[in-house]
Amino acid sequence: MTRRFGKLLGSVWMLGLGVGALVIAWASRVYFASDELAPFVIEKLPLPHEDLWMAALKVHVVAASFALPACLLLSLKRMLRFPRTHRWLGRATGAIILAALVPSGLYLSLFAKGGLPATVGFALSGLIVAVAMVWGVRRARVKDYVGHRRAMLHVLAQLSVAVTSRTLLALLDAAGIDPDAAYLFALWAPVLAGVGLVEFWLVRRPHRRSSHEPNTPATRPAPLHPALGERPHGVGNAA
Amino acid sequence: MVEKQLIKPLADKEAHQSRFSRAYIPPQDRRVRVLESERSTDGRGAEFVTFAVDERSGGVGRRAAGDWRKDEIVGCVYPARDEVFVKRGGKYFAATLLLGKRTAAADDAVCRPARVAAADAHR
Repeated sequence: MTRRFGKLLGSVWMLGLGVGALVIAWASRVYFASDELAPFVIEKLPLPHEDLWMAALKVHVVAASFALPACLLLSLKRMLRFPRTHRWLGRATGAIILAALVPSGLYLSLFAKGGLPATVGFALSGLIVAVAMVWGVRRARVKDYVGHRRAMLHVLAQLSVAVTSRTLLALLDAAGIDPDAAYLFALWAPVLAGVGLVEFWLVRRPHRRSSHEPNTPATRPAPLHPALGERPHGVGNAA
Repeated sequence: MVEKQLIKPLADKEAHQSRFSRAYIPPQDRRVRVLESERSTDGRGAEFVTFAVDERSGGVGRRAAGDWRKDEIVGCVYPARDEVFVKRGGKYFAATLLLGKRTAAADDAVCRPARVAAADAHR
């Protein structure tokens, strides 16, 4: 019963994230309309390097519009039946996150509403994503799929902050909470909860074996320095 | 004039604004306060009046009547020229900026009393 409820909760959560990602992507069209400034842009003005900031914002929204739905897809159990698709989508997602999403997000964080606490919050989330992505790719390359899953859940948890923090903002506004305090809470709570959820709950659940997992115990940690002969070569083994 | 040129069009625009955004969530109420009873004169000899806009938010747990966030928007009005300016980051812009129209900062004399502008110039 508990397991079934957990499964239902998980499905609703994933669906919510998917719908949220689509809503955000659709609403982001306003940043590409040349005739009118979006409210998010208006409240930031004047900016010291407006063109650079706008470019970073556009890169960020396009990268995020791809990355979050892609991460949701990659985390589906069904996707593990298609290891080649999983690998190639994973590579594309990893490249976009590391080359576009995180750098643009770090730049935007310097001008975040809420001052230093908000800047630190966004930057922390971005750094968790970058470190977890690199770590997750390395784990996949040495076929440590437990480590890979753990790392990629951190990536997904931080990307999902985009949806959860906006939901919290709307709820806190409806409750009449001061907007400045609400903004910081709606940022920090999902960032920290994401780390906690992955480390203290999700990774402790019984592991689901993937269809392309090697025939070794799932909990066996990968060697830190595998012998040269054991080391996978090229990008063919990257996540 | 502030109501007509800024508050009303802003509320109309915000009615179509996505709530699922990191941008500010539109307030439920706004009120305009005139900050000085007498008109000031800027460095170009034009008369203006300064104003502030307070905001109030909250749906389900709507705030008490007195709980306004003060000075969320500040600016000035030039009654003779039918112009409204708002202050952003130490500079003044045409109020249409808040409605989404790209606009350059107004010159330094705008919304600054002549004596203050002169004192600033001597610093």
